[in-house]
Amino acid sequence: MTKSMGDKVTLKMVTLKEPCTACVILDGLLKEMLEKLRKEKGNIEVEIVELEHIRDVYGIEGVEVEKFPLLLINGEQVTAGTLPSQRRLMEIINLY
Amino acid sequence: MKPKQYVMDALYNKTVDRIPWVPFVGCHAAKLIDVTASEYFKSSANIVEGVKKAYEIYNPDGLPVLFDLQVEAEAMGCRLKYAETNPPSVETHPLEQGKDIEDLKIPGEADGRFPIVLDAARKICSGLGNEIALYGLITGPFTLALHLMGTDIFYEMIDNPGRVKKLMGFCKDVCINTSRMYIEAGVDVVALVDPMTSQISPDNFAEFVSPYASEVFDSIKSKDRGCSFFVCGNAKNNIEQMCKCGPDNISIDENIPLEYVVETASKYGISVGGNIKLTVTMLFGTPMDNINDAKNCMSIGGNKGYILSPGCDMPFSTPVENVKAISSLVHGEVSEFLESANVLEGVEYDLPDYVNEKQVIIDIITIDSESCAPCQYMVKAVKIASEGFGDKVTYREHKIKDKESVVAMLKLGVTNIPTIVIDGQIKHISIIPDVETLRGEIKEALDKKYGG
Repeated sequence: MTKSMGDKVTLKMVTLKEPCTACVILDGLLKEMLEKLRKEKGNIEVEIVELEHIRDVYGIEGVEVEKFPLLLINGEQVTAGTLPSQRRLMEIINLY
Repeated sequence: MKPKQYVMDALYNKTVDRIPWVPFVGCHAAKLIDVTASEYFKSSANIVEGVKKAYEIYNPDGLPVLFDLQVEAEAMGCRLKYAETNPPSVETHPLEQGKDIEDLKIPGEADGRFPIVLDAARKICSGLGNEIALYGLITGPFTLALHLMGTDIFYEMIDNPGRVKKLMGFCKDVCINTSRMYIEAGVDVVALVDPMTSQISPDNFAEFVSPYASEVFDSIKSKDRGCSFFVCGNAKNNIEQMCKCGPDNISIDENIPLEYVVETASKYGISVGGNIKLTVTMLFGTPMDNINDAKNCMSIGGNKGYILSPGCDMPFSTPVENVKAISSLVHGEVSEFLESANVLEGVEYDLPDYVNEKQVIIDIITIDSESCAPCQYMVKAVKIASEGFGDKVTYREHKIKDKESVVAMLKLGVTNIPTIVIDGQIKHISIIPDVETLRGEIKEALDKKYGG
């Protein structure tokens, strides 16, 4: 990874269109976290992908573990079915 | 025995002659009565109608009166976003917006949507309470604390643990009060649903969750009701801690191996539930996938202390036929279901002419002996019993994950799995015979064919 000031970092969250209650909560918290990061850092682009069918995940580049919600940073998967620490996410983002 | 008794016996870790079935119908009930999830969660009449509909079509032994982990949060000032096909989600967290823990008030019967929810609970309990076990679901203290504080709670656990414990103590009081309201409405079981505990370590669980959850379970037990601890996500590392909190039952989703939870919970005399795969099987699978998954859970869970249920609340669009398929398995009506559901249209299987065949033919109907333990033992028993008869005896496994095998099963008149059929005659249903018995039956069949 090479860091260049001002480069865009894309955070892509992938989830199901109809998750269970627990995942709805997790989805909500992750979306909030990404929004906070976006506001804090100027170079972050957030994309939320809601899958109609679980097989649609195969069309998303970079996905290795199919547990939702999952998060990709510039196409590299960093979480699967868990809520990452915001501080840890920031550390990873700062590497880009 | 009434359906309710199956649930209560299994919940209290007793042996039952049929595994009880509790489909977690939450926002899926909205689809059953053709309203949106938003319309469903805001209307007592819709909730009552939805649960009654689920009772009529799914033939369950128990049902939740509602599956919405945002009711308490909303009543305490969290703003919710309602959706067409999902449960509502929390948008704001009061403690993140300048409020203090002291400003929060324990919600009562008149707050938020509680008047709607409790009215529905009373009506459902008075209408169905004699027949099936009804669950009142309360938001667990950690998930509720997250709703109130937002993700800052994870830092506060490190930076200011005293504040988090104060909040957890408050959330515990909310849990006890909400469980009291559900119990007074008539529920049989209170389930403390704390999915967000899957995001913390066992040490954090022991420090920040256990003391509070334990007190909630003590309170429910003191009111003579059953209690269950629901978790979703990969909470395998916390299962032991959950058991130590003293619930009657633990319910898990597909992220944790059921074998592990059964083994761990049994050490504490606690029953187990859940584990049917929600997304891959229930939402996107076929009726056969659902039968196979449920059968697998039942074979692992066993007849002592296991309640068959999905891992969490079923998604809105879960196909009705998938849920009915599981119900048919529970009630021993798989063949009738498959025939009525036209799942097997166009699939052919010709049975041999057993009487005129030169060999004795043993058909073993299984889920799959590679994945189902009882099926594996049954196939092994047949294999050993057949040894020594040479080519006069042949056996074959029909795995019902294949449609042709299901047709064979129907033509043989088999309704339970696994089953052994010798020359077209059903001999052993679900119970694995000893090898000597089986050898005797094979000899008998040979004598019939060749003369004794």
